[in-house]
Amino acid sequence: MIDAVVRIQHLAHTYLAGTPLAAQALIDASLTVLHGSVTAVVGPNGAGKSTLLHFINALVRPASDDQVQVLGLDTHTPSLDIGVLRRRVGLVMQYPQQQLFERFVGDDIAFGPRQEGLQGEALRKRVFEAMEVVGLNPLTFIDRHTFSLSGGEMRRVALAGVLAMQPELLILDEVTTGLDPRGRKQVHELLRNLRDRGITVVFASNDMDEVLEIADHMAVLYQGRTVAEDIPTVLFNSMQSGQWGLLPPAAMRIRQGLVQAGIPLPPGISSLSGLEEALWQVWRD
Amino acid sequence: MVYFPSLGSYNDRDGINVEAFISLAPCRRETVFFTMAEPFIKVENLFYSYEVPSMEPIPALVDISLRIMPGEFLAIVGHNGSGKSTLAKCISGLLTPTQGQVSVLGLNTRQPANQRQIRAAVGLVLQNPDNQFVAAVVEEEVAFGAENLGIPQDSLRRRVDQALLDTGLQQERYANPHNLSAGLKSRLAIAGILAIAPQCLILDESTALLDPLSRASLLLMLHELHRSGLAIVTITHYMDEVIDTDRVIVLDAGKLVIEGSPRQVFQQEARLREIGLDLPPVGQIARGLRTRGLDIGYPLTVEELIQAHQEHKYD
Amino acid sequence: MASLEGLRHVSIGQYLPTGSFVHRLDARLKLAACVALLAALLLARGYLVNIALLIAIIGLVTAARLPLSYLLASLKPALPFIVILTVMQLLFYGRGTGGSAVWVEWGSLVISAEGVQLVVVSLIRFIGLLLCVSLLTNTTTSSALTHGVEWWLRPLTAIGLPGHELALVLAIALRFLPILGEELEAIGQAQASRTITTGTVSRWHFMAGARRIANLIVPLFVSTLRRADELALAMQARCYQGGKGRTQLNPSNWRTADTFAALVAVAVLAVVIILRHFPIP
Ligand SMILES: Nc1ncnc2c1ncn2[C@@H]1O[C@H](COP(=O)(O)OP(=O)(O)OP(=O)(O)O)[C@@H](O)[C@H]1O
Ligand SMILES: Nc1ncnc2c1ncn2[C@@H]1O[C@H](COP(=O)(O)OP(=O)(O)OP(=O)(O)O)[C@@H](O)[C@H]1O
Ligand SMILES: [Mg+2]
Ligand SMILES: [Mg+2]
Repeated sequence: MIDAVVRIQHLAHTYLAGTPLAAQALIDASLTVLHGSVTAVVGPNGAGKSTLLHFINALVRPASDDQVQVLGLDTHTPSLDIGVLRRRVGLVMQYPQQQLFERFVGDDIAFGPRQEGLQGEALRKRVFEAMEVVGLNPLTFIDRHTFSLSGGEMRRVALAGVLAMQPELLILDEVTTGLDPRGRKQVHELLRNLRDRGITVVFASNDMDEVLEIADHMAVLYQGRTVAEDIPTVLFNSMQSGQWGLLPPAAMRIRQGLVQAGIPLPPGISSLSGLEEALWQVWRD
Repeated sequence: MVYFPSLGSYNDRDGINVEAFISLAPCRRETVFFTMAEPFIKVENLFYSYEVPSMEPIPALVDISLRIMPGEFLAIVGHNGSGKSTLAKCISGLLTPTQGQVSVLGLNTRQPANQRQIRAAVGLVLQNPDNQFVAAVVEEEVAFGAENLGIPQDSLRRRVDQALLDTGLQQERYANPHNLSAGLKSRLAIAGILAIAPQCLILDESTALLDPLSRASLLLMLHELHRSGLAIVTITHYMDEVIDTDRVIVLDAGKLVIEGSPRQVFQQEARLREIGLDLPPVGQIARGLRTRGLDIGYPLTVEELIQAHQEHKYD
Repeated sequence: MASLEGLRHVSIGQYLPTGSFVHRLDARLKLAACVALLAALLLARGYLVNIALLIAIIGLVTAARLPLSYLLASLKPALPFIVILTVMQLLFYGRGTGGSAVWVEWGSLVISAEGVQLVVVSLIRFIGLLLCVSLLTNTTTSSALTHGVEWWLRPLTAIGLPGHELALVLAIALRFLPILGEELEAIGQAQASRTITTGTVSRWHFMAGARRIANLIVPLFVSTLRRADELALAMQARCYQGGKGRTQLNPSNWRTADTFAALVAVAVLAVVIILRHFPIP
C-alpha cells in the first residue's frame, strides 16, 4: 500500500516503564489510515486511544522500527527531524487546557504560524480564519486570556491553534467533547471540507453518531489491542450492542426499536435522515 | 475498565443485555410542579461577572431567578460560554454573586459561616476533571470530601467502597489519580462527590468524556439516585440526556431564556436552533416528518415514536 | 529530543504503595526519623560515618521495597549541574585550611585532599538527602503526612497559629514537586506538538535545550498558578475548611514497632554526634 499515511503495526507501549508505576497502555495496536480519509479510533475509557494518537504526532516514539510510520517516515529513526514531521501533523489533545500555553488567545493560535515565519497581515489573516472556522468571533476573543474561557471556548481555541498551522494530517482527540450542538456540526462540516481538500483526519471519539456521520473507516481499541477495523456501518451492524463498551449510533438503535415494534423498515439504515425517509415511505402508504 | 456496575445484574462486560437501558428511559413520569414545598435552592436576580485584570468585567450571568425543589431532576443546557458552569458554581456557593442572592436550604451563600453546610448539601462535580486531585492514591482521593466532613472511619470506608463500585474504579483503587486516562479521571471526580452523600448532586458535563456504555450506566445511576430522593442538576450538550428530566432551563449569553418540561422546551424548535441547540435524535426525525406534512406530534423517545405510528395507523 | 515522559518522573514527592512495613509506620515517627537522619547527615564528619549513613539509608529504601534506581532517577535531570558544580568545587577549593596534602598543583589550580573530601562528602550528603525525603514521601500518603506534621506543630496550634494549614502547605509543597514535573511535561508536549523549527538541533544541542527550557518557564509559572487555583476550588467544592473535625480513611496508630524505630533513630543521631569528637577518616 503506497498511500497509507499512517501505518501502525503491533505497537506496544508501557508508561513509566521500568518503574513500579509502569502501566501497559498499548499491547498490540494497529492502525492504517489512507490518504484523504477520515478515520475514527474508538474504545472504552482507558483503552489506549490517546496514547495511540500521541504516537502519530511522535510525542511518544516506538521502541523499534517498522512499528509506526507516519507520512512515510519511521518515527523510531533516531535521526528523524521531528520538526519536519510535526509541521505536517497537527495534534489536538484531549484536554484543551493542557494544550494552551500562551497568555492570550491570539498569541496561542499564532504560535504555530509564527514559527513558519508568518508576520503582520498574513499572520493576522491566518489567525482570523482559524478562529472563524471554529466559531470564535475574532474581535471578542483574540485578546482574551487563554485561561479565562469556558470549557467549550478553550476547546475551540485549541483546535484553531492547530488548524492555523494548516497540517496535512490532522489528529483530533475527542475534539467535539464539550462543544454545543452547533459547534459540533461546524466541526463535522469542517472535517468534511478538509477531507475534500485532500487532508487526512484521524480522530478519537466516544460519540458513535459522530463516528458514523463523518468517518470513512474506524478502528476499535480494547484493552490496548486493536480488536476490529472496518467501515463504520459494517462494523456497527456486525457488533453486539454493549460490546467493547460501545453502543450503536442513535439511528441504528431507534431503527431496531421500531422494527421490534413491528414497523417494517428496510435494513441498512444508518443515519437519522435515512430513517426519516424510510418512515416517510411507510407512513405514506 | 468497568462501567457503573452496581446498578443491575450486568456485571459481565461483553454481550450484556444493554437493551434495558438503551432508551435511557427507566422512569418516565409526569412533570411534577412543586408549588407547595419550600425550595431547596433559591436564586434571586443573580448577576455574575468575572473580573479580569486590565479588561472590562465579563458578564457571565444576567438576572437569573430560579428555584430548585428538593428531589427535583433539573437539566441546564445552553451554548458554549452561556454561563452554565458559572451558574453551577454560584448555586454550590463556590462563587459569590456579583449581585443578587443565592440560598441553599434557606442559607445565604454570601455568609462564610454557612459554607460548610451548603457544600455538604450540594455536591458539585466540576467540568474539568484534570488538575483537581489532592491525594496520591485513588482511594484517598475519593475519601477526601467525606473526611473533611468528619465522617467516622467505618462509614467512611463503606462510602468509599460504594463510590468506587458505583463508578467502576475498584481496580484502580491504589493507582495514582494523575496517571488515569481522561474518562477514568472524570469517574474519579464523580466518586469523590458521591462519597460526600449530598442531598443535591450537580454534574457539570460529567458524561462528556465517558465511553457510551459508561455514559448510559451513569445516567441510570443518576435516575436511581433521583428515585431515592436526591435532587439532581445535570449540565449537558447531549439532548437525549435531557428527555427524562423533570425540568429544563436554557441559558443564552448568561440569560435564562426558556424554562419548562423537556416536552415544552423541545417544542420551541425555532428558538432552540437560533441559540445553537438541537433536538434529541427522535425529535429530529419527527421534525423532518412534520415538515413533510405528517402530523405526528412531538415524540422524543422511541416509545413515543411507536405510539405516534400506531395512532397514525388507526386514524 | 528525548521522550518528554522523563520530565514527569520526579520520584521525590511521589507516593508508591508497596505495602512494606516502612509504609505502615506512623507518619509522626517517619517525620521525626527523617529529620533525625537529615541532621545526622549534616553533622557527620569524614568519609566513614557518611558512607555508613548512606548505607543505612539504602537499607531502609530496600526495606520499603522501593527500587533504588527509581528514586535515583530524580537525579537525572540535575546531573549536568551536579557534575559542573563538583568539578568547579574540586578545582577552585584551593588549599582550604591548609595542612592537608596537595595532590595536584597546576598554576593557580590546586586539588587538595581536603578539597576532595569536601566534594565527596557533599555528594554523599546530597544523595542521602534526596533518598531520605523520597523515602518519606514515597511511603507516606499526603493525608497521613499532613496529620503527622500537624501533630508536631501542636505546640504552635496551642498558641494560636494555624497548625493544620501550615502542615497542609508543607505536604502540598512536597507533593508539588512531581506536579511541577508533570506540568513541565505537559507544556513541553504542548509546545513540542506545535513546534516545527527544531531544524538542525543536533549541533547546537545545548543552546537549543537551554532555549527550550526558557520557553517553558513563563507558561509553567502561569499554568502552575492556574492549577493551584483550580485545586483550591476543587478542595472547597469538597468541603475543605481546614483540619478541624477532619477524619481519616487510613488513620495511623502508634505501635511497638514505632517506638522501636524511634529509639533507633535517636541512637543513630546520638552516635553521629558523639563520633564528631573522634578523629575518624
Ligand atoms: N501519563 C500516564 N502515566 C501512566 N499511565 C497512564 C498515563 N496516561 C495513561 N495511562 C494509562 O494508560 C492507559 C491508556 O490510557 P489512554 O489515555 O490512552 O486511554 P484512552 O483510550 O484515551 O481513554 P479515555 O477514553 O478515558 O480518554 C490507561 O489505563 C491509563 O491509566
Ligand atoms: N475564569 C474566568 N474568567 C473570566 N471569564 C470567564 C471565566 N470562566 C468563564 N468565563 C466567561 O464567562 C462566560 C460563561 O462561562 P461558563 O464557563 O459559565 O460557560 P459554560 O456555559 O459553562 O460553557 P461551556 O459549555 O463551554 O462549558 C464565558 O463567556 C466565559 O468566557
Ligand atoms: Mg483519551
Ligand atoms: Mg461549562
